[in-house]
Amino acid sequence: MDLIKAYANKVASYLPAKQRASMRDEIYADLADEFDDYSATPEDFLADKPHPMKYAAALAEPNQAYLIGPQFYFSYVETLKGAAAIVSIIFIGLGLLEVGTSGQLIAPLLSASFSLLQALIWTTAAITGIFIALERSGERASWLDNWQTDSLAHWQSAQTISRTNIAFELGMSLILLAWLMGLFQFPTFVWHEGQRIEDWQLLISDGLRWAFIALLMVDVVQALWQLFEPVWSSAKRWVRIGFNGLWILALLFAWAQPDKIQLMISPLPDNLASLEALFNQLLNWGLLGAAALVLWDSIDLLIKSRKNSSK
Amino acid sequence: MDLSSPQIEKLRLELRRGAVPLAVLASLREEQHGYSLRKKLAEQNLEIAEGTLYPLIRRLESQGLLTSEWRQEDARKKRFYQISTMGEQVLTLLVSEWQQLNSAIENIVEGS
Repeated sequence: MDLIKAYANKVASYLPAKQRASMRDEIYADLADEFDDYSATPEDFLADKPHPMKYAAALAEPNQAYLIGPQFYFSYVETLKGAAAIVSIIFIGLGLLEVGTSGQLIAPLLSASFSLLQALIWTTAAITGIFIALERSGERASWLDNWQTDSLAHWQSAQTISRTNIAFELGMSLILLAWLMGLFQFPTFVWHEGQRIEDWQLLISDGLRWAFIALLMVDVVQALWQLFEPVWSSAKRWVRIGFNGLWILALLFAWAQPDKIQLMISPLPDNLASLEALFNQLLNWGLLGAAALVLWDSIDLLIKSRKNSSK
Repeated sequence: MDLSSPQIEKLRLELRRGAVPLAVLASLREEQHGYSLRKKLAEQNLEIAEGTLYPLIRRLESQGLLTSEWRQEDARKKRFYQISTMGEQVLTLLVSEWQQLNSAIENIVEGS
């Protein structure tokens, strides 16, 4: 394991995106040269270096007036991200529970969204207050002084995973999971030329439903894993490629067996019979499209994995 | 007051702060990358931490006093810095300023 590269990656991860690549290369080259002059193990060499967060803080431009200065800035941002993730997961979960128990969709979701926004504002204010107090107290982020090189194990790769993508995937997986488990229903009517058509529903065979539920649960676990460790590793890529393979199989199976998943409108007016058939056809091709997207994601991961291992 | 106290350390750092850009500019009359520059300065008993050196180099480069170039050396991609023409002019000015200041301080200290 190239610990020095991992250290440079970790330091660069705190820097602004524009500077990240060049600073990472520069820090790595200089540290590697310094290590060549140093007769010890990489662990001992890095143990003499500051915590990556402190190193990154020292690279910030000095002589500016800060509300939260460079010593604390990265700890502050990390704490905010972690707290926002935890608060969001709790409120999304509570919102889905409310949807499931009340039998309504829009009102509980709106209420959960406002509550989430309110909680995020209060959490941000509280964390900001604590960090401003720390800054004013003269504390110098002493909790970063005793750091271990073991914490660099996941930073061999410089490729971070976008937290926005993770949050989107997590949100979609949770909504679909809750729906498939029957925790809530989408509105079961549509309007067509002023006529209310009752009870459209998606019929999924039990086997397929449980297969999707199991795969979505794995997706949620993967998303949480990525959320708390947002950097690609070989293990993360292969786990995802493996489960992508299972998703492709499940989607292709559903595509090849249209009777296992179909849309039904009842009672069905005569003039809408062809519309129902069209929806089912779209649904069928949609499954194939979804399988193609998952395949594309796997190919992309494979290419990046090969590029990374050849470096 | 203890001579190794943080207040004394702060005064010492403040004293060095103004001199470091001058030392860096003068050292970069010969092309260097970050670590070799730090090593060269350390050999002259001027130890500079990475956290001080990189922001300073960035600032000097953004002011047009340094130029930089990425090159491969010893199978590593390194960024080499060198003083620019404008940097040379500024260095001459700063050296003259430094000498005047040094002479004035010496007179004051000896006079006291």
